Amino acid sequence: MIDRIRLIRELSRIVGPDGVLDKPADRLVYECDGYTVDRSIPEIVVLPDSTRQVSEVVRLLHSASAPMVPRGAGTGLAGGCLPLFNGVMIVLTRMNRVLSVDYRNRKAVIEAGLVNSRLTDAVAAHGYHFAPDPSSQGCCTIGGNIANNSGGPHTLKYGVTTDHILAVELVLPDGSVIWTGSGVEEAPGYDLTGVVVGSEGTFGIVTRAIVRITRNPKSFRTLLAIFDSIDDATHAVSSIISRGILPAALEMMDNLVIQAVEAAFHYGFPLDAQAVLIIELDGPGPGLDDQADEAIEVCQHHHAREVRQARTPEDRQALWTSRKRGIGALGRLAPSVCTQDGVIPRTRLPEVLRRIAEIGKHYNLRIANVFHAGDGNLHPIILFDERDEEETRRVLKAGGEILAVCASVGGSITGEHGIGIEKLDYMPLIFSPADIQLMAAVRDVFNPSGLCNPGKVIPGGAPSCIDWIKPARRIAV
Amino acid sequence: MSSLQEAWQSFPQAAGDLDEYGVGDLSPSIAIAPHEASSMALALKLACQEESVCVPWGGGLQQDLGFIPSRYDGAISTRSINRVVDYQPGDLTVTVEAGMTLAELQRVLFEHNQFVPLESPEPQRETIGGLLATGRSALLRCSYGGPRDQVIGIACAMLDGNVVHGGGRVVKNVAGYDVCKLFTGSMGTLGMIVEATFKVRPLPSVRRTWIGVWETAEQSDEALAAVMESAISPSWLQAMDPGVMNALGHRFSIDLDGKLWGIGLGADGHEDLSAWMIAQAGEVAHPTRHWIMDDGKSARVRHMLIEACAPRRDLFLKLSAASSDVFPLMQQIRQRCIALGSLTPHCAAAASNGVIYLDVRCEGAAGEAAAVTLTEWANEIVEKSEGCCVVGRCAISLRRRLPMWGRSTSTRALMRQLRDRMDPRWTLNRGRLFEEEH
Repeated sequence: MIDRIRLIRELSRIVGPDGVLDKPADRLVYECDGYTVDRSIPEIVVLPDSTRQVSEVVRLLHSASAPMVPRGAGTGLAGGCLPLFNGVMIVLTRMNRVLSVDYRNRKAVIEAGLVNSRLTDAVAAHGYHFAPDPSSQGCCTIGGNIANNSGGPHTLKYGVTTDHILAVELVLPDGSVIWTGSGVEEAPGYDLTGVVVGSEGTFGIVTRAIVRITRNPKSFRTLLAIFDSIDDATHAVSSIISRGILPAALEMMDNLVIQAVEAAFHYGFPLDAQAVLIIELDGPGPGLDDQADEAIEVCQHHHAREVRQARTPEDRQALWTSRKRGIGALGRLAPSVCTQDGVIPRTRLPEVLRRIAEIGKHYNLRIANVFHAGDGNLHPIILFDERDEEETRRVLKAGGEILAVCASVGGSITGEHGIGIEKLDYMPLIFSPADIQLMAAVRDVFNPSGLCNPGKVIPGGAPSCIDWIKPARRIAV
Repeated sequence: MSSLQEAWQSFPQAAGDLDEYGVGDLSPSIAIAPHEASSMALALKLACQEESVCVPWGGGLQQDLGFIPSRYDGAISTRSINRVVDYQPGDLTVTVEAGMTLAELQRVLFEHNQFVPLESPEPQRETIGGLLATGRSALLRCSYGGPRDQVIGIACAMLDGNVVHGGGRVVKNVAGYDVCKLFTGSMGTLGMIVEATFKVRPLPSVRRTWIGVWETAEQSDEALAAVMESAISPSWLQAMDPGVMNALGHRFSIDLDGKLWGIGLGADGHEDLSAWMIAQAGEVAHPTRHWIMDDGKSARVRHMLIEACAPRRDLFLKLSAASSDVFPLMQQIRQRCIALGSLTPHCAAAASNGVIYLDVRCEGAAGEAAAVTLTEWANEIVEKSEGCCVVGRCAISLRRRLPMWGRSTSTRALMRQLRDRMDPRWTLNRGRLFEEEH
């Protein structure tokens, strides 16, 4: 590996001096993403502003055998952009343009560092939006969404990120650049776009993408169903899905979350409710009232105390603001939160939420639930204080047990946050050694040197050519 | 006895004559139908050890696709693995073995008023494994996406003797890489699909079909743009040239004058929504004439349009382009076929997706020469708009001459490496997807 000073000089030549951060104070902000339990400061941070610069940077790092970690806005929740190997972090936030929009064919070409909601802002006047809507959509990048195959509340009807990506431009770990397709459907050969989406930056660095834009629905019916028991709320979710009603979104918040968001946003949630469901139906308009009536009937059958309907666009917006900022609002209840991301078959919701509550009780931890109930995608949020080592140890154990419960009922250990480093140890809960070996073989075709985002997704350590530098975990586990 | 016949002699033999397992002008020396996925993997491992070449076999419906294999020793049929592994109607997921037919799967789901949005012109013969391996889609791609978008879990028999899994049985899952998408459409060149899990959907309460016609392709294109710009959310949206329109008119006793271009759409869902979409279609698209079909007639029209997405005549091309190119390309294709002579085109398209299905009758020896010219020309015109052209059927004599998968792209090298990594001895479908394996 070439020495650090020479590397900084070479990188500055490619991206300009203002595109390289080498001082500790400047690099500190990059020590973690939304998963704060593990931290590691990158040796150098580089901010390219074009595919050509990314390619040249990667080519240089490849020739220097330097590990590289791509990063968007750093809003990931599984440590996917943690620089484990003392490497160089390539931050894409300067590549943030909408390059073209083709309304007739419902697609746009964007740079990977574009913030998710900025694309919707750019096409809103024409009546379109970008459908994946993670709660962090106001700051997360579409490149990050592609890396993690991100979801969001409305992916119940509209699909996750992979359903909206037609092709990507990928800088491979040797610096060469490919497009995985031209944006047309049913191209022959292997679906490289499909396998790159969700690969968490371990196949290379996505620099541009051709994405679908979606026509805005004309009408909404947004319901807030209030329940006195979590069991009733989860049974209502199962009934709505099994009756064939397909809401655009079907979200649940429990009492802890209700307390926090009410204190923050004053929407008018009843503080004594044990759970609320947000049920949104959308479409051109005809038939929506019947569907809403059916959803209300299901909730009432499951003993909903009250079902309210948003009467104005502002009311609807306020409700969604409360939901999407729910996790942030939990900061009012504890200094630290650890968000889990399990998925279960939807009919198992009542049983699994009971078991999560038992785990919380066993470890003496408060666990809040705000999640995509319609998908069975749970987000148990463990409240704690990361300065308390003993408590943090319990948080990690409880998190592992929650994922084990999800796996034991035929579910998955992540629905939208990714494996990153957080869930590496849990991959064997759902995949056999042969399954994992297959994934490693696919990664090795794209990333034979193992230099691009090493140590992520695939358990079992990093390629032997790289020296492992363990991240600084806040506590010894 | 060949070495593969010897290695496979203890496996259950597949039903029928070996000729029934032919691909192009080649037939295997043995055809087996193991009863378990693990036996399938063992058979593949043995074939690999013997350096033999085998062809995965489902319903045998899409064996016209791709190059003729460079060698063909044994067929390995999925027809004896055809069970429902797990069906949870309340969770809207189903897991089935690869040899189950699409018709049987839909029958099982229908009992719970559910379906999976996959289609075939011959659902009684089409196996789930074959449909996924070839990535076949038709009308419902418009609203539900293709097979890649329905699969949430997959199991594949690999050449090292393992059965590997990807995805799972839940509708949302980002654990590990999306190998479901890697295997879907891979033409059985990476491993053999033995099981798949799908998202299933509630059956719409109403399924109506609306068909409008126009005098010219230009008018049809304007109508298509208007429908796509409107709030109508059809379950399918097909474009049809006069060849397909005439066939439709003939089948359903509709009096057409032989020159009309058409658009069909599916108005599915709630009764009010369906009625509203039908009314809107007439309002925004301004057809010369239009027809509305309910229930049984709607289903028969849809089936005929699904058939128009598959080969039935001498030459079948699938062109991928932008939606806005659909009618202009269909018009150019029609003019080109007339200019070449000896060719009678029938052209339909998934209009919002830009996928054009061109089925051509080629008359006599001149027809074969014209087929070659048409295919080369089609490759040139779609490439101008960064599209691609796949040959779905042609004469056996042309299958070693024509660019069956279109022209090479920059991703070919990476695909080549994936192939070599999963199947280093080219045991599966050798030469079918990659011409250089010949």
